[in-house]
Amino acid sequence: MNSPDGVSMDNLRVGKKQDDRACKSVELGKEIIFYVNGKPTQAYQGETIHAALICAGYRQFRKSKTNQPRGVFCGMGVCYECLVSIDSGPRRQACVTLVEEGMEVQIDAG
Amino acid sequence: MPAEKYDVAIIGGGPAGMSAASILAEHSVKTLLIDENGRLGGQLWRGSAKPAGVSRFINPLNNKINLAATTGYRNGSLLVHSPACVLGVFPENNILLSSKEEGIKEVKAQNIIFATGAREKVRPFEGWTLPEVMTVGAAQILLKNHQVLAASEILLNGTGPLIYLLAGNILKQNGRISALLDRSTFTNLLAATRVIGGQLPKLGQGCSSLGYLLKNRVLPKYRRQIIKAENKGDLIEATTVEISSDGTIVSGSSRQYKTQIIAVTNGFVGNIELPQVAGCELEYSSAKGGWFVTVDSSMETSVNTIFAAGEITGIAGGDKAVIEGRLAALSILHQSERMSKSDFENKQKPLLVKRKQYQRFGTYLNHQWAIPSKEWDTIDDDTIICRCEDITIGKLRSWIKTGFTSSSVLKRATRCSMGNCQGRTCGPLIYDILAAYAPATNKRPFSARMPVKPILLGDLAQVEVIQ
Repeated sequence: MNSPDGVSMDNLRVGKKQDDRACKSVELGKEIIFYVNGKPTQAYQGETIHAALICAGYRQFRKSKTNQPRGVFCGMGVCYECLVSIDSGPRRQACVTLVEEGMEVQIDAG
Repeated sequence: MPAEKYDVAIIGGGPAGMSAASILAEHSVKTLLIDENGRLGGQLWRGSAKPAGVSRFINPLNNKINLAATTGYRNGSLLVHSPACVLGVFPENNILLSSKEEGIKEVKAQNIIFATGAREKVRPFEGWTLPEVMTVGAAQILLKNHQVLAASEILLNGTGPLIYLLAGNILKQNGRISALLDRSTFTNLLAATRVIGGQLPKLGQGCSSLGYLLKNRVLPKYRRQIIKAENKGDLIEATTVEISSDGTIVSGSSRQYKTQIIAVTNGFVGNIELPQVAGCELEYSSAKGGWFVTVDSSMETSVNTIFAAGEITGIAGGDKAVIEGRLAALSILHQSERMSKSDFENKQKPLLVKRKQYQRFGTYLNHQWAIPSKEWDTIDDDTIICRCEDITIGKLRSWIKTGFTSSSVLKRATRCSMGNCQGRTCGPLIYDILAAYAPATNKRPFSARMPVKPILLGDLAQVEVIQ
């Protein structure tokens, strides 16, 4: 379920091909590369880490206190379920932290 | 270190905060607008995702914002500080801020307007903690802010207009909907047209989504609630039942659906933590969506010079928030003698009438979203309520049974609400659970303390105390 193959890429980011009201306000920045557990992964400048991770097919971001898989829940900085480690630093909320070129994100997907 | 001083600090840059900002800017009031996101607009308007910047004068992007905000930008009276998080508000309106660029600093304002908005509430079920279960808002943000469909196949469950809006958006992006399960009934939906009253655009939006659903042959199923989500290899299996209006399960109504992602919503609760820290009086009303900040017709809270606007004074949506933001700004202009009494009253009156209309719509929605107290009995003991500390409803029920019937003692006994989110997710559920199992006990929300959001101790240690 957590492998990047779980999601068909054909159905991701379909919005950018269309002139749609829901997506008109979105301007995707330039393409960048960041790393997920060492694996080079594509993202766009200006988007959050959680969007880039979901887009790449990751669902589980961490484990809970009793070792249960957790991922994006509220998506707006409230629930702290999407905590990931960034550049070996303390864990931050993936849904409110912007992804950056070369950033090393560590998720606990095991 | 002297604190930066402002006439007004607005905390929250959504519909309420931005409406207030635009009026204050028009009158050249020195205003600081603080928002924790890198873009203004809040969860409803959502300005486009902008790379982080701090303390810069910006032109709010959203076309819904009165151009007066641009005036403020030009005459230099409006300063936007975002993304920045307010950690606490202290006596004499000292505000402690944290941002990546400037670390932690303190600012001071003659008046504060809290416009901290709302968060989603979700009816818990077995497996709602799976990474494949997210809020409708989360799925909507991924789509609208980032052009990301959470998965090619999504199941929706909950109540209210949001599930239809998201369903419409998913279909527009060629996503598939495994099922659209509305906890409400079709008759209730029709009843909405009565309370919508003067809000025709809202009706139009609803019809546009429904049109998309019909075109794609997605028909909502009513009264359905997920009671269990399980990981079945490549897909998630959702077990659903029919819930009757008193909260009991209709026997023999169980039905399974397979999907990739489940999106759920059961209404909203106000982000009342900061006003609470500032000492503002709170009240509880199910018609207003739970705990809310008490305000008078000037939108002033129980604390002089502190105002509240938007969802935190009662859940009713963005239109009410805009009205209240304006009301708060006008009151400040009047109180600071920048606006005459007659001018103020002329402007205030029609806004108060509209506010009442929108509040009626809010009451209808909050009633729809309410979880009947009997329904809590149908939730299995091992279902997690506090997601940070992994505390189950079984544990909460057994402590309540032994007499731990207030939120604060329950917190101390079980550690519920003591994790990273500080009870933001489980708090509203625990208030419901307490109301269901200990209805006689006086209601009180969890206490909120500075810092209202977790920060690193090292950062806090660097704060210089203002004399």
